[in-house]
Amino acid sequence: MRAVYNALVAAGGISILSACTGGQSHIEPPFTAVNPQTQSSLQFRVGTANYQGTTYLNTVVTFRQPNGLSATLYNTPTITGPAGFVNTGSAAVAGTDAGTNRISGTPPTQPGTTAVATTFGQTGGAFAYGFAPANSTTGGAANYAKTSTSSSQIPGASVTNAYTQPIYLATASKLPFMLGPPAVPNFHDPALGYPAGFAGYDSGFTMFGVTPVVGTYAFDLTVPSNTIGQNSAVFDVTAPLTTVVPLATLPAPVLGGGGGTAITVTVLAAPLGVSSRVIYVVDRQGASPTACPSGGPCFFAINAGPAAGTFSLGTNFGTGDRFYAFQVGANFDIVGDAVPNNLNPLPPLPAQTDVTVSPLTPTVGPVTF
Amino acid sequence: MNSLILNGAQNFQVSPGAGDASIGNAGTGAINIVAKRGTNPHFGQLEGDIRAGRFQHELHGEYGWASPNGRYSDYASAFGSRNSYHYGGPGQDPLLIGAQFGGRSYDWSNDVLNNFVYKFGKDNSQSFQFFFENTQFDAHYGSNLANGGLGYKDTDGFFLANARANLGLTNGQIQSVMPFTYGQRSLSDFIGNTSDHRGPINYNQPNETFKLQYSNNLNSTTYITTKFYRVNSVSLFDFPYDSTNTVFFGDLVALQGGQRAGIALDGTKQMGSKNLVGFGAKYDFLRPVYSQPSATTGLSAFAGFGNTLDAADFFGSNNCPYGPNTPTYTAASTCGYITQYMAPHTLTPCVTDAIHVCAATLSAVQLPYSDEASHTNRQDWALYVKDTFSPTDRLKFDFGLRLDAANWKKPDCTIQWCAPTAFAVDSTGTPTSFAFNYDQDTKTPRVLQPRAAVSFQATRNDAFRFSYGRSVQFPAIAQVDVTGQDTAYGAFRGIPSHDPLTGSQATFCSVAAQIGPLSSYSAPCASYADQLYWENQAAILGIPITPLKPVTFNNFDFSYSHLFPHQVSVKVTPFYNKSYNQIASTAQQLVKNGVPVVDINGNPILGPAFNTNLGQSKTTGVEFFMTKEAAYGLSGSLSLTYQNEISNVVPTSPSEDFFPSIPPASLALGNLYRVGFLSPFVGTLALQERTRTGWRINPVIYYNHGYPISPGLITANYVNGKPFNLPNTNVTNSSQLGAAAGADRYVDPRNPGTMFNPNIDATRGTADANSAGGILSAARFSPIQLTVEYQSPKNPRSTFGAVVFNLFNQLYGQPSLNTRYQPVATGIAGPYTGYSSSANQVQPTFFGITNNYQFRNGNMPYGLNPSGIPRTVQFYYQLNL
Repeated sequence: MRAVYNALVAAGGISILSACTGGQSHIEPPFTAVNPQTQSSLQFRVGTANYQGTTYLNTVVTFRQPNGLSATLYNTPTITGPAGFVNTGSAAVAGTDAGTNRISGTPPTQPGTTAVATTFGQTGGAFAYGFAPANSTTGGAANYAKTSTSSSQIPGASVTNAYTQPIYLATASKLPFMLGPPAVPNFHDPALGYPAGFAGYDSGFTMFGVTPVVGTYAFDLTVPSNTIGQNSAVFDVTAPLTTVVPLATLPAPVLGGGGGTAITVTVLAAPLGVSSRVIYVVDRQGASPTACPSGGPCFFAINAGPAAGTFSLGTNFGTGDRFYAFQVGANFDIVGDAVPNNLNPLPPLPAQTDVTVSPLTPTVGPVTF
Repeated sequence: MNSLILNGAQNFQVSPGAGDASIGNAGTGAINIVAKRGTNPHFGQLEGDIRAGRFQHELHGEYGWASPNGRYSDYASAFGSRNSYHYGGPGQDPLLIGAQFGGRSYDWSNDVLNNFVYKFGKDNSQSFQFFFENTQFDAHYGSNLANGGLGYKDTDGFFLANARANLGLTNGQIQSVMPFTYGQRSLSDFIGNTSDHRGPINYNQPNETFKLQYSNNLNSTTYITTKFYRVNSVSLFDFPYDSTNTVFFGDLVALQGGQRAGIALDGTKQMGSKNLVGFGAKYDFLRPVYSQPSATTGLSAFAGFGNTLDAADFFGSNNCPYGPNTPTYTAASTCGYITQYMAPHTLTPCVTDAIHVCAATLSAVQLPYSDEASHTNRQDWALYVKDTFSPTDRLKFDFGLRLDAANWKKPDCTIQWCAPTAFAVDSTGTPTSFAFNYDQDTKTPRVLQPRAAVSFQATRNDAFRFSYGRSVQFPAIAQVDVTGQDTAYGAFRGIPSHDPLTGSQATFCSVAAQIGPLSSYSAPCASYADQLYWENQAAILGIPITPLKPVTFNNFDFSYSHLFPHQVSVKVTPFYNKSYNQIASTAQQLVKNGVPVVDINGNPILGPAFNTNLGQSKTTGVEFFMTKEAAYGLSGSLSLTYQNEISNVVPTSPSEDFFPSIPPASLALGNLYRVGFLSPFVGTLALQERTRTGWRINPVIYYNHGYPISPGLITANYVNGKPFNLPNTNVTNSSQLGAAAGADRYVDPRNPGTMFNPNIDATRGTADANSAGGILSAARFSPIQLTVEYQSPKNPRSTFGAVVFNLFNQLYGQPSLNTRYQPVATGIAGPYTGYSSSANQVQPTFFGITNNYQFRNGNMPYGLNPSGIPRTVQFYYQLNL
């Protein structure tokens, strides 16, 4: 029996070793996590938006890691307006925000339950330079701004994973504010290897089709953890709106060229108060291998500055291209603060961020080259 | 080391590498199971087993006898098992841990075997042997469903939701036109209650083998045998509620298997005192049986995923569900074509309850099933000769030469069967002719295989052996033949073809329809049956016939063995193996008018992915094997293996070692990887303590050093039509590797950078290495088995014992990259991680497939599935007759 006893002791020894790793959690590969509360830098501003003659609420948000990239891939923002602020968006697009003083998102909800409808819903979050409907999903796909191939002829529906603005307005009244070359690198050239369908970079500002009121706007942003109802980070900041007097109205830019000559855009001098200006030019349907490949619209942007001038987009376009354009003036540096140009975790912003948006230039084209 | 009966097996002959020339179709090794024979005196054993914790009963019995003169002998054995697993701890709901295989399940198996030998002639020098074995395995998974069972798929709310979203039809339209699952009787029918024991997943797997053999010792130096054998194994996979609610194969009732029958002749001749010559030949005939009708797949194939929208023809024109809002519908589109030839009917609607979602049905003709078949048979034959030359007592040479051959009985390649290797077009770009320049080895391969080995007994305790052998494996017929079932559409044979989108005869009845640049080729469908056949081929099956060459291997191994005192022996065996023409699916560049096809930027244009011989692998390793033998006291064995297999299939990719697929960019770049299905270092320790008082204690411990799990920091993909090795991110990971879900690094969605230089915004926080599979899972001892047995020295006829399987109840399998990972920040998974958009789309009463990932550690970077069989204790009693 001694041999039996020895063998059982040996087997028992194995059992003790195993018991030290009870629950088998040891077989989950180890991982390390950052602390988004300490590594993230959040800025939030409000201002006025003179949108083709009507004054709306403008916002600018930056939410960045120390390296200038977006702080998180998923978060839930909520803007709470001061006394007198009323969200006049329709219930169809503002959800339960309609009629309240909030512009909010919906935190993650228990699977199987219906999420409360809000302005941002569960898709909208704050990123490196502005709000975007780009919160991550379990598919893991990169929710970068993409050109829309199904509705490319409608400016307000020409891009996905990015807000066309002002939010709450009808699609036909909204515009896409995507930064393209030459204000940023020429991502239209397929040889450079930008992700398929990449539409461009955010302009930082997000306009809402509601009337701004003077006062302090509270901004709350939560970053979820892997457990519903628990956050891995919470941020609360405020932004003052000291005046609701908007920047002056901008006229539409003038498009020219085609027929063998370079595509040009001409603007007058910007009005007082506009320190920065971007001219957005959109090629509705691409026809050029490098400047604008076929398959969808292409976005271009010129960091024009306040002075009058004529700017060229060159001759690398193909026969069949069709263009429209509009311009935006601001009291902050739209392009200078934008990624990938600016990777400062706290890009400089004034206390109040105002923008003014021109009407659309009627479509030019199809051009020939 | 375990004494439990393995039914009818006398011993196992393991032939590593190619083995000698008598062994064919071995690949890199073969196991030969030698059946027991009856003896005089007779022997027999009865054994009963009862398993604790979970239900299992087993009964084994064997008996062997022979006449005193040895002329007659017979061995018979029988085995029966009844088994019910319930995963998780005792009393625990398996749904809470998301059991993968079974949850509540019941299976049973029976096996009978008989081996009769009749010897006759002078000195019993001749014999006839008749060997027969019949095995039957049945299983029901998803037993004891709550709520009275499950509705069939056409009334399952989750399936209907997916079908509505994918096909643009309403519940009533789906129920009207979708065929019933095989065996379903009405929309009100259901599965899995007490009066209908058809479970959601049912297996019926018989296997019958017999052999009739004649042997003759012609003289003292010559021995021959000849035999006829047949194996018949056709399994039924009856899955009326399969998997989750995918629109493809949500149900299937499949017959898979076939018959192999053949004759063989083997002989040996002693030539002098130093040469033993062997020779032989064999001929086999393989006939596959394959059928897989699926109602859900039929709906998908014919209502939107194929070349056209056949479903429109099956609705009456007065209730056509398609109109201007259907994307592919045109002005020429109409409904009601088939209803002119076949009387439409209105099914009796069901009543919505806990397991049925019902709607008012419409007048329509039900669609046919999507079904598969095989149009290929195969003849295999082989010849071999070998010689064992022993010039001294210490030195032995084995030489051999083997020829394995196959005659593929498959359709000759035309544009109706195979993908063309090249094609020509006219001035308008319309394809005019096709070439099918497949290698002759895809039709009648003849593979010559030299084998050689030398053994040298250096001292009494030291021996060396070296061997080389070439070997071959012919492709499985299922890898070559992916054809549709002709008879599935027989009812439509007399109806002219009609494309409901054009109103004209369909022209997609060829392989060309599946190859982009050839899709303009007009191949008119001879009938509506022909149209449905090709619709199913395009939507579900792909290229019908893929000619493939055999896979060949070169095997080298060297071994040194040493016998230590106290009966301890050690053997060390380094080995190397390289394969050629491995089978893997990939896409290749098209060839037009003799010139490879490129796009406007000069980049290759690829055809569809299908099986090729472009796979490759090579393996190096070393085995260490130590044994200690002792009648009493401690004995045992220790085996340790280091192995390093390199392949051009990306590790951890789906079906890596089953139906591998190589991303074309990786193939174009010539990338090689360490395979993901092998642990680089594994070991087994089996100890036995046998006492003179009758006790035997036998732990068996398995160890692995971890399996490759990581997706890699680098991946191959195309940029602007050119292949590159790129940083692996959710943008660059290819579809074959899971696309975004198969990566562990995430770009900034607002500033993604380029595919060459991405801006990584977050990772899963786990370790990774350049190559996929470069990081191993944690080393594990698992599973561990312990046997304790007692046989009284005073009554050796009876033996009592207990076997503990999976001693430490390790339920979770190896981790694998969580394909439902929601990135928030580095190392922070989102709250929906592990949860899919189709969450809870499986009936909660189903047998354990559940989306409650949190319960099974699923909200982590890697998923862990509780796929191990729980700890069980099996008590047995053996009675020697």
